[in-house]
Amino acid sequence: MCRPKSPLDSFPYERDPRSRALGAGVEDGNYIYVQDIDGTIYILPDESHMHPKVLGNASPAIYAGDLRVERRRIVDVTNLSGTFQFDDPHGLLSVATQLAVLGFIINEGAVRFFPMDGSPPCILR
Amino acid sequence: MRALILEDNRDRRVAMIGRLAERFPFLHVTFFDASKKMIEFMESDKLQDIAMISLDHDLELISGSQGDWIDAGTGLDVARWLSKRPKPICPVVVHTTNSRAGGKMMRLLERSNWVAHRVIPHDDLLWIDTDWFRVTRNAIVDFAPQRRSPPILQVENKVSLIRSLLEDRYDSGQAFCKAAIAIILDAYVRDLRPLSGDVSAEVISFVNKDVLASVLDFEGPVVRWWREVGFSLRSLDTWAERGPLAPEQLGVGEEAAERLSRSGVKQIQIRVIEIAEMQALLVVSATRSLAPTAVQEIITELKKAIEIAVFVGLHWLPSGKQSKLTQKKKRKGLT
Repeated sequence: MCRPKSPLDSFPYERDPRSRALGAGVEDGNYIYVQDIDGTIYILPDESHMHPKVLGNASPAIYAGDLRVERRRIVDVTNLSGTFQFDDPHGLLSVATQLAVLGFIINEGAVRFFPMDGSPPCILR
Repeated sequence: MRALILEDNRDRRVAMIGRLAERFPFLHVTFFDASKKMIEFMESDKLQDIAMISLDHDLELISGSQGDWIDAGTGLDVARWLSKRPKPICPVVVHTTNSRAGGKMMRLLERSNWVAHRVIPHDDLLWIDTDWFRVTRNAIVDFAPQRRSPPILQVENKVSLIRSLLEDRYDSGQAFCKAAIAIILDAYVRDLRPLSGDVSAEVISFVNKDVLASVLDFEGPVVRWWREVGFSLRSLDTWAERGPLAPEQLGVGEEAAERLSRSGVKQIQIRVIEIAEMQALLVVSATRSLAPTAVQEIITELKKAIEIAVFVGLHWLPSGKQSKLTQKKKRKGLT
């Protein structure tokens, strides 16, 4: 798990009312996610500039990125977030483990890490 | 990583780059307003780190310096050039309202084995935020990564790295330990403060079975309180490795617990640091909760960092001996 990080956009946005803990019953689609300091993963539909509104109030997070769900399977999960820019592959693996604990099937090769210096991305799992 | 986009409309460009930067802050985006310029660029570039190409079809005429108008070409010109390359290099998104030309571009690219996606603009710029970004994001995430292990530095390598960096600066392992622990505590306490309020952390070593001493030259609120109330040395031991404890959970009686609370301490946590024959205690106290997962992760990391520092200190070589060894290695060409 990573050291908590505050959003780079420190404006205290209100938490989006659609923000919810990731769990069973999530529909197919693209989502952004933020893991709060207690380890819970919250999601919102992938729309413009939503990462700071997942937790709201410029709250720190221990990981953030985006993911794609298709028929209860995780097609991909990444560390992609301009707002948080987590750069630790182990934190992403920890998110993937938590997704599995939550009952999601993670496709082979779905855990994809993008180094924030722009160097080539890699598949972690 | 780079993206190349054929798009001459300023508003579209602003919307595209804004949306990409939110998710791919490291992506370098180059826009072109004419097919000829884009083809010339691609001919002169190795195109090794291109993650995505997006192509409009209809482009506005460009005003020349002589008051003339220059034909900017079309996205079809670029699709034709791409299709003639020996092999595809990245996914391509075709974003044009011209359905006939868009279809032509798609067929040309697909016939030459390019992974091509079609996005039809609608509702002014709304399609960029929704359809175009979703297709582009999925295309980059599907295509870009290669399978390899994450870079992990082994603990042994970390230790030798620390040693190589610091060995010359300290005469003894003890001096190194003291300096390293002070730096580590300071750094981690700063990380903990936003989460747990006013945090104090110290490392206590046992001088013998009845006497303990702070490794550094200060005492935190817990140890000060512990000395004031005069508890036995064993009490600190019994609170170790039990997670965050509130004063009333220490089993020290109402008055002593109240006294600790009055000093502002809401929770304490004691972790045992054990390396070889040495045992010490890491004492963390906070004016807010130490319970959240993230706080626990930081405390665990803090404990590991101190253990590494102690490990390095225990395996310290006197500087004279170290430099002789280094010289010997240099002579043998080992360094």
